[in-house]
Amino acid sequence: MVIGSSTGGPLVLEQVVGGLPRLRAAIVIVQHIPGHFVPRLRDNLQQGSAMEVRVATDGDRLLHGRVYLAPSGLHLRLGPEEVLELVDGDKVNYVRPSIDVAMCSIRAGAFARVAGVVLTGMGRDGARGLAHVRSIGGRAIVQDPSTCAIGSMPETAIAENAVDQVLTPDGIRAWLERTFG
Amino acid sequence: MTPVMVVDDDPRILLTVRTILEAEGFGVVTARSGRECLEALADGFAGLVLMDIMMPALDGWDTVRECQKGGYLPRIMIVMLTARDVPDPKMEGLQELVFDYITKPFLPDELVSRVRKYVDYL
Repeated sequence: MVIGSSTGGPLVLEQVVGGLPRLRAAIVIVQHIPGHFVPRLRDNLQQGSAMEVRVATDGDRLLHGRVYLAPSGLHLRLGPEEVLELVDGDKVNYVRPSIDVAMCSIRAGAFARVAGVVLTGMGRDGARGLAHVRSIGGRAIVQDPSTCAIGSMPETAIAENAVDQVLTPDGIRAWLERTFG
Repeated sequence: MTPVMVVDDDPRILLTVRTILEAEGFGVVTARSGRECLEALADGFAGLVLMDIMMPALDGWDTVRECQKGGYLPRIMIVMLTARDVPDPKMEGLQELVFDYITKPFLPDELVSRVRKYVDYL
């Protein structure tokens, strides 16, 4: 599954992903954030978690029980053979890495189950990605905008009819544990 | 403890935030404009910056862009203070530079709790 998040996201990610039990899923996180905060975010998500949280590197193979945090400044794609690709390129939706780029790189039939989650953030990144996730039979979830620091990313996805479920951060965590636990 | 700079053209907000955070042991610097914020950064300030958006002359977004141009971002974290959470076209392109939003008015306990989490990243 791919989780995308922007302004206000790190503290919500700690709530949703921090300290998780080991799940039968690989979680890829695209967070718009200055690069120097990525190692601390990784550490905070790892604290008390049975998942292995790592900053993604080019060529990483997606494995259950792992969380892959996109590094700053490169787009992240889910390539063939369940391998992560980090690629340079123009910003998409004014950002790099872009949630849309990551979600839209998921190929139909490549995984038994697929889910996309968009958390708090400004702008419209993630709406196209969630629509793609739905189009290939995956589950599209957004954080309830009323619980967001800024809700325009989930609101855009809702407005574009790209969403299956609207959940609070605690609700998203419960869904994760129920679905992949 | 990590220092905090509060940037706001409203002196009541500066006093309120300063009083709340100093009572919790934070060192607080205040700036009454984006320009004053940039001057403090040029003087070497490093830490958490709580930045109002709606300010005359250089507003919060313009100040964030100036922080980027000045090369100050690696030593600060920027959290925007805003009285509204509606999308603003001026935000575009700044998603990767701003860590979070705090909507005014805020409760003192909530402010302290969030500031503690932010400085954990610094």
